[in-house]
Amino acid sequence: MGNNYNIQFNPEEPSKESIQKHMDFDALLQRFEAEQPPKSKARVRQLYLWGGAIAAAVAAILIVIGIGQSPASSVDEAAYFQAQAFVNPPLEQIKPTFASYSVNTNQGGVYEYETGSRLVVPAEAFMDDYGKLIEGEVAIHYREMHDYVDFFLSGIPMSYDSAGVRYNLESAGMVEIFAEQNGQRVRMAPGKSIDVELVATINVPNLNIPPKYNIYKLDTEARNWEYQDIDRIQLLDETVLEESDPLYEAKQTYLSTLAQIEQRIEEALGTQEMTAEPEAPRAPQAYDKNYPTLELDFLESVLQGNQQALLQLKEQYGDVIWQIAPSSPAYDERAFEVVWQSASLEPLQNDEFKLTLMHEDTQVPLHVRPVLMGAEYEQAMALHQDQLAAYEKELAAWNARLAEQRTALEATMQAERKAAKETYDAAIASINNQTADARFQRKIVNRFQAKSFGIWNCDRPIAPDYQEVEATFSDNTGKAFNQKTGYLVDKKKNTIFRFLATDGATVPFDANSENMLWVVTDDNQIAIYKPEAFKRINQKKGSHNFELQRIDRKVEDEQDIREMLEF
Amino acid sequence: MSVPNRTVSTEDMQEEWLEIQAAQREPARFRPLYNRYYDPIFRFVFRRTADESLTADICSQVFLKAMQRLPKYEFKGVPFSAWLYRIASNEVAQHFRNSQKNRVVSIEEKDFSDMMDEVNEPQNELSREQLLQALDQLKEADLQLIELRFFEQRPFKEIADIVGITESNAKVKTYRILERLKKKLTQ
Repeated sequence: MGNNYNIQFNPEEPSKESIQKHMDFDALLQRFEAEQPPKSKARVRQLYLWGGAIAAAVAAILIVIGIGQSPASSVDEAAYFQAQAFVNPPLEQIKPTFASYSVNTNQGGVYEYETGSRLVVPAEAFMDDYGKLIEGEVAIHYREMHDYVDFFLSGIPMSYDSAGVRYNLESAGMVEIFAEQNGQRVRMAPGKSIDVELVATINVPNLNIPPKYNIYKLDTEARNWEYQDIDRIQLLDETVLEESDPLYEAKQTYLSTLAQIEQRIEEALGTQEMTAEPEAPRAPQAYDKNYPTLELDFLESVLQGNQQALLQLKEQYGDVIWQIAPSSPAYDERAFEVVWQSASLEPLQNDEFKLTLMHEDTQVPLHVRPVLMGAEYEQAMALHQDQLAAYEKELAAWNARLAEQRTALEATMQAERKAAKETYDAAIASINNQTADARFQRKIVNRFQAKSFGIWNCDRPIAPDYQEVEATFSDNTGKAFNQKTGYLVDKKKNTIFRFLATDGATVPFDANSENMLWVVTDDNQIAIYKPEAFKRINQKKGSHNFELQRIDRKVEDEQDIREMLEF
Repeated sequence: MSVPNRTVSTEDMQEEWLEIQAAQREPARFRPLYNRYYDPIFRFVFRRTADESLTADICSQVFLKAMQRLPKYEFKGVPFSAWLYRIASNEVAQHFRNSQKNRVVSIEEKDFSDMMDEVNEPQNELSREQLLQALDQLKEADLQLIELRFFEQRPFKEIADIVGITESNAKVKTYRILERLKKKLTQ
């Protein structure tokens, strides 16, 4: 009928029964499940170049690895983890510990965690499920996870899928935040966010350049991490050195050399030559008829007994008039009729002085200043203009000289820093310990905005060089482990690799690092494959039985786990 | 809950939100929502296709997308049906874009007659033809408002929820379109 729409009059609508014939929720559900994206990569023993949007997010091309199974068993691994809760703490008896803060919702507030981290909560930040703003007190619950033991106990996966490819994430700190009122969870109001300043210690390849990390939030519905933002990392002053570090002495020497270089820079910058800035001439001040003047012999009477100060002031100001300054404290004019026993004069800023008139029981503080009248002022002003021009010229020359000196100093110090780094590199090369980590530990603050409650991670994809072997797993009695969650940690990377430990699994690891692998046994004990055992793996053989040592000890709390998994 | 009224009470919306949350946790629990809204969504789509088989296909796609997007659904004080109508409206538009055919606008004779009164047109063949031509020239968004209000008799509150604007904005926009139609018809 028309050119743009097909207008139809009185179309016969289908009957209710006819519509119902088209209803088939089971078919819809089946289709929905079939179209759900796969949760892990089918084929895992591959290297990928990470491109597109994710690469843009991290501003780098990253090599990403898959971990886990041979092609035949990889589907099993996907199904194995799919059947579990996405966040799946391995030891039920160890409950996470949260710090709780009571927040007045009308005011918000700043809350500090035991690590020095801070949460900045805005006012009116919470709403209920129905979008209604919450008033009164709300309890914010907060915890931090920093290392492989925290990640292990939390059961939070440290890998994420993007376009069907699985990546591993290295963390610079992870937090979980939620809020409750009267035991009921509340939500973040639209447009509100909590500013998180997460203090952590991370390995940095370069002492003074913050490494690049991103912010991800765990989406427990989609079972994946969602990129949120760039992590705004700030390096704190503190560099952490541990005596157990095999490179401790080399690192300490390097840091000490750098500190000496910095000290020399400070000293050099502090020398008279560098800092003796020319002094600007002071402009003469004009007489103001609204303020009383002081007697001509005012200086003599005030400074009697202090000939040096008197001479200095006379030389500076000659026979000028002294006047009460506009900035002076309020005074009673009868003070000028009193014969004062003594007085003192102290310089203030802007050519003003504090004059204190003293009697037995009374003191009157006044601000006074030297001023000129009429032609004398005009002459002084003309002289001042000349002095000012000379001063500006001298200042420009001084600045140029200073810049030149600083450039030369920085070049020298840069060369010294470079030499110190070369000495450090040579020292660690001679230490013949390939598994030691030459990076430094530095304290940092991760800064980000949590726009909703849940689990937030400051992390980045990692690009490990690794070798792998086809694995079987057993305990020290020869009893096989199959269909168990395996955990693998590389000491150089702050993450945990979770995989299906079963016959035929491939275990990727960096032979140039220290690695540890473990499973939780059926009776809730830990069975470990230790770093020294990793060193004995013959990679050329291509297959290996990981004979895990059962630790015959009851696991009751986090400390137990830390002691068992320490390396 | 029974088949929803055209405007939904806050209590009903809150009760329904519990069902939605259950479905967010477990997709199989989307069934009661599907059963409740299949019929109205089907009729909504049918009025824009006039083809039962095509409508069934589009409905299937509407509910699939609803399930896929459900984890991100947040309660904002608007009936769940409005969210479904919006998905349906987009799916219909997508279908007609892909097929490069004109989408259907279904009008009951009586509703059209009422609309002629609304724009002060005499009830004769010439005026009728002129109004149809004027409607045909409307932009999709404008026609949708006229359609929802005059050809489907929906209250402004529901129209606002479906289109994603405030109720007063829906009223203002609708009457401005009417004014434009009147002006066009008097030229």
